[in-house]
Amino acid sequence: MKKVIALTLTILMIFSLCACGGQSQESSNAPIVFTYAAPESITSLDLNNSTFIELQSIAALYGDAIIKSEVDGSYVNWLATDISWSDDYLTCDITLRDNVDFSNGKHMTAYDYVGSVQRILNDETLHGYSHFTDVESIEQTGDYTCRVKFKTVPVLFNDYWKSICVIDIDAYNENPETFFDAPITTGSFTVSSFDPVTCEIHLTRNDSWWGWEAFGGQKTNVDEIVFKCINEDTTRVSALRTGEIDFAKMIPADNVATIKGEGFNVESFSRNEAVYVGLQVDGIFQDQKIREAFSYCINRPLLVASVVGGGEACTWPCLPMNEGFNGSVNAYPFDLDHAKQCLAESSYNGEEVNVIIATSKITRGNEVIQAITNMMEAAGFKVNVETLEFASFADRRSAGTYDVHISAFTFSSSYAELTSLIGTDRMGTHFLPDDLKDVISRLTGVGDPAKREALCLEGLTLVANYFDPVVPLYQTFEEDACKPNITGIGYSSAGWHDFRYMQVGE
Amino acid sequence: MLQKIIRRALATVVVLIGVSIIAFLLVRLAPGDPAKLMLPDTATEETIQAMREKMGTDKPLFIQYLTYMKNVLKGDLGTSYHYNRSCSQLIFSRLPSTAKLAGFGMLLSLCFSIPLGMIAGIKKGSFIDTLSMFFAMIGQSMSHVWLGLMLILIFAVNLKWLPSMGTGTFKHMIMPAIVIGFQFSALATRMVRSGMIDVLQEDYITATRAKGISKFKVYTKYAFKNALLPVVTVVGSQVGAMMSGSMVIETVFSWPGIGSLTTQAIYNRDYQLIQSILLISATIFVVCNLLVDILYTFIDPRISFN
Repeated sequence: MKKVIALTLTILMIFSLCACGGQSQESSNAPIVFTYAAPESITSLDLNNSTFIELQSIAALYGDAIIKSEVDGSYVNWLATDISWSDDYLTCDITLRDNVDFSNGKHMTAYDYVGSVQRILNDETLHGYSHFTDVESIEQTGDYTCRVKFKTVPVLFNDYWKSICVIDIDAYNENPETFFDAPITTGSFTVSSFDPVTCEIHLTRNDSWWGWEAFGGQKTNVDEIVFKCINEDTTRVSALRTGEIDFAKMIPADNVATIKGEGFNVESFSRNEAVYVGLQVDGIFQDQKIREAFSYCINRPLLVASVVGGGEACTWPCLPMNEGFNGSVNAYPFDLDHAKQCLAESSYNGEEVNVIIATSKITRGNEVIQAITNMMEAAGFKVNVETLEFASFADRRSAGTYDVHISAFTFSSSYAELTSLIGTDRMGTHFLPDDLKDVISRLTGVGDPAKREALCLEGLTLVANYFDPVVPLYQTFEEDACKPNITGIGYSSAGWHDFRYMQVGE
Repeated sequence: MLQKIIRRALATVVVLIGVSIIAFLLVRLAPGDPAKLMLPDTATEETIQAMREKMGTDKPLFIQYLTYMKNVLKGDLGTSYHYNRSCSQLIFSRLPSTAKLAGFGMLLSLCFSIPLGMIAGIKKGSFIDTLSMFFAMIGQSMSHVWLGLMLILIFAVNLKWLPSMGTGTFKHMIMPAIVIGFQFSALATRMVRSGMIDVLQEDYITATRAKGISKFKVYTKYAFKNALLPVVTVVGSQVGAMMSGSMVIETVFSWPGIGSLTTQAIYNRDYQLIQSILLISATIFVVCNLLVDILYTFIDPRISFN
């Protein structure tokens, strides 16, 4: 009996060992799937019809534009081999690559590119159109060449045209309603499925993508990329810890130590975004001394170090990567005594300062506003804070019904900051003195980069001296976490990621 | 009975028209311009105005409402500009997820609360009764968010028994269903308990016991049926509420239901979508209440449909 039992057990052990061996052989051939999550609900894959930052990461995978933004903020020619300009910067001739195919096998020509742009110019998109109102016309001039004519000098050409992914325009015209559920494009990955209900996107590697060899990068070993939307920060971190996802965007600062302790890689990088203050000059802040007192009473380095937990204190009304940045001057030092003195010498009579803030737009917004309130009160201000939902905040801001507004803004270009934001008083501060207005009018439409740099510097110097209409506080930062066996992910200051060359190890 | 049901259905139409007017006005009274929210901060005033014209929000309110109702009567709930899809497609694609979660949550809570409430009512003053009341108090005061995050931490992160988010398998439904049904189970336990206590004091219960009928049969067949009526009322309204989706629970668990859709629609001031969701939710509520009223007549024949 004992021998029978021993024999049975031995046979069972042999079978189970064989089964184990079989599974490991299968898993080595299993496709490598990379799953990542961000807090944005992507409801459309049309980059020109939405405002999702994370969509830029997805679009960088499935689509190509004539120029590409590198993760360091510079631009390189991508689908275009040459972009040449007329002397007046109003005409642009684009030469496209001749070796690019769409994911359905169709060969890409200038016809598709012209159609892709025309779709936007015809106002078939809601969002993208606002960036291309300066385009007069685009026409195909050859199989791989086209000419674009502008009404005004397109100073922000790189910023806006990098978002036009070329699409198979014939396929789009056949079915415009559903084209972007699985867009036919030229990118390194192909959209294999998109579920707008769950906001889950599946992308499959395109092994015949023209770019694998073009730029010398090592092709990613990831076969499939899956994007999931997880709005709640804690849930997103939990999903990373349980292994349900491989990469989590925007980890809350409180969770970083725990995540690092469990062996995950955490990448921290500065964004081209800053938390700033706008001071409305129709009321209390009409007096420049009061504005100066406000700026001097805010301890920006302390905010960064102790409240936010990262980022950089701003020293100039633009970010270091923008035109007109003056790194030799700190326009926003902290000096509480100076702030008190300015306030004492000003026309301030103890009136309540009405501060509005959209805390949802600012990481640790509640803590930030509490710290700012304390700093203002230490200087002698009387403060009343209204924490608003973003839609209500945007209304109040543009109407100018506030004394101080605090929000975050993407400072991608000093030119846009001066001409589009400050020049049109989009922030409702009602502050546009004649000298600043003059600089902005001289800056508008300037194509020469050196001249533009000088004018941006002149305009931003005025903004710094006036302490309005934009008073930046600190540059924001982002922390993303991924599994330790993943390398080669590019992190852009604009908040998107380059997954094309990442490698997933054992 | 059929005539009365038809009359109720016609009254429902009037209720829904009232809901549509209130929903229409409420979303437009809230501050925030949907056109501005759709465009970047650097958009010009001309572009914003063009967007308003495209959305139809530049027209007088009366015209906007009539246009919307005209389309609703044709079966078109409008287009969501944020999602760039028809509102009906968005709502009805998410409704099954919410219905699944609501149904499973309700089932879990009833399976737990009815036996517990019955035992607590039968054994009034005992340890089980005290425990059930403690549970009821905790259940009605506990935050959904906290409970959800704690369940994720314990069962997903530490024990790795269940997935932390998303949808797809039965396991994905367990934690959100527990959270969605938790507060209702606390309420239902209390109602069943108090109903049982009241009914068990009735003379006919004493009479059935005197006849020699077993305790189990007395409690389940005779007492529980009469204790059930108030619970049925609450179940009806709770089903309607669950079917409207829980914004908090769906956000915590990334559950793609009506609740999370409503949250996004409100943030984006997606007028058409908000109105359509409110209209559909109101219809669900009204239908649930109608079904509850019909169910009454079967549970207690003494109650007429009037």
